[in-house]
Amino acid sequence: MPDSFLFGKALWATVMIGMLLPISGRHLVLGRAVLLGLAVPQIAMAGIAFMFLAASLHWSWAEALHEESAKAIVGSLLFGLPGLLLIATPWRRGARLSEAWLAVVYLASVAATNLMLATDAVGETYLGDLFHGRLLFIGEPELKLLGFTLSAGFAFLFAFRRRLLLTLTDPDYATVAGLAVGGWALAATLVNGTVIGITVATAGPLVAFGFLVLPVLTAATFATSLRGNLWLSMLAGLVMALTGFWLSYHYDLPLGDAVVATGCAVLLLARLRHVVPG
Amino acid sequence: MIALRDLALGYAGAAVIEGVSLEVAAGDFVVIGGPNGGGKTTLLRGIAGLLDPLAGSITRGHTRFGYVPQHTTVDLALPLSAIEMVELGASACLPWWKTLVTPRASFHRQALRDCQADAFANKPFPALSGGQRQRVLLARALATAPDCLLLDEPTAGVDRPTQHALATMLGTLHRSSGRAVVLVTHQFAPFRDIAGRFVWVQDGSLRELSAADFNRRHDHPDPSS
Repeated sequence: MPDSFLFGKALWATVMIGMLLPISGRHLVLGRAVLLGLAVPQIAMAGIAFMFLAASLHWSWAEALHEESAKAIVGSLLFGLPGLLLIATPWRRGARLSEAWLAVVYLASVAATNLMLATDAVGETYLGDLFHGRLLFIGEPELKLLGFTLSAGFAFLFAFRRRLLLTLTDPDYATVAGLAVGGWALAATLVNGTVIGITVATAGPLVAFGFLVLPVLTAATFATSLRGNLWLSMLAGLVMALTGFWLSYHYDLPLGDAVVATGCAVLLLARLRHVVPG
Repeated sequence: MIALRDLALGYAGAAVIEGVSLEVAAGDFVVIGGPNGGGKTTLLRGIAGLLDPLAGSITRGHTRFGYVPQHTTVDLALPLSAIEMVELGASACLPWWKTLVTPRASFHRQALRDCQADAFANKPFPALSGGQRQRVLLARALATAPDCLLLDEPTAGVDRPTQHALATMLGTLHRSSGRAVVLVTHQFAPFRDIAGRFVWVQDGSLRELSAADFNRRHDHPDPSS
């Protein structure tokens, strides 16, 4: 059945993001850089808007990308990766951008996105869908790209999780012990930037930020070890993905919004466990 | 092992200590004391390689350092157990391909045992007392098999009996392994009979003192001296 085939890809994409993206979120949450996770998807959105603007202005290199999804992926990486590098590099060196400056980056990205879409109806519709979580429209090539990027990112972040976390949480100790802190921080930034950029281009900023933060925060209410935190994050992401998908399917709700609302509800329930006696 | 020659260290180009010379040999146990703001921690950070010299030189040879920060500087929001703290720290000195295999659990357990911390190996690090956290951080440094331990205020924020217990443990580790120890402290008494050398840092300069002189200055700091 064509419909079930369409939903099958959307389900796969939601589950993959739910289980594999939280490991990137773990770096942001444990490295106390959650606002980076909010600002970077929005910078990536500005990149997507820029690609649609460039195509509407008949810039040949942008027009050469016929598929809208291809424009989205190129635009997301074009802005998202350098954006994350620019913000994260001083962040790692201790000269952290203040929360206020990250808010300015976020606001500027939103304004730039909207301004670039002001005269482009096609781009506005595409980004509108993307904001609500464009998972239902995901095609075979996008699904493969998403799967490859998330799997490769997960493999890297899992294999080197100890030294990457050490670099994030105790750079002085890591430096004295002989770790090339700058190199590992750069590698983590590039991997996380690529993973977030592709996820934003295929699923939207709301879904990306939701899966970056909510599963990790939910896991943090139960886990007392790094090992437990990782597996519980993945489990929380899976519950969030499957329940959100079912709600979206059953009540005809926008998938991205349903998934994120489910994640918020799961987090609140987890927190209540600590608040309510017994 | 470590040689400082006419060293100046500081921040943003402004020197906190200047013209400092000091040598630390294998097996030395050096206590660095002095008033607040005198440059003790700046000196330790310079030896550790966390600050570049503004002038002069530091020679470290092939010395492998184990760094123990103050336990109060470690982020307690991290969900990790004591043994995971040691695993995390030990991963820093391994070649990158060795981090792909199972961590050397027995080696990490031994480091915790050496620091009398194996009883709470699986407990969450944030749930430990100040003294227990300090033992775990020391085990983390030992797990990198260092030639020289650098400790920043190892007895800060713990009660007096724990200060003495930590100092005694450090003395035992020092004697049994022969590795050098350099520590910065505000509490001289626990280390009086353990350390072999005493260095006083004040107003940006450094003087090596006898234990008695160090004790006198520690008890009656004189800003004009």
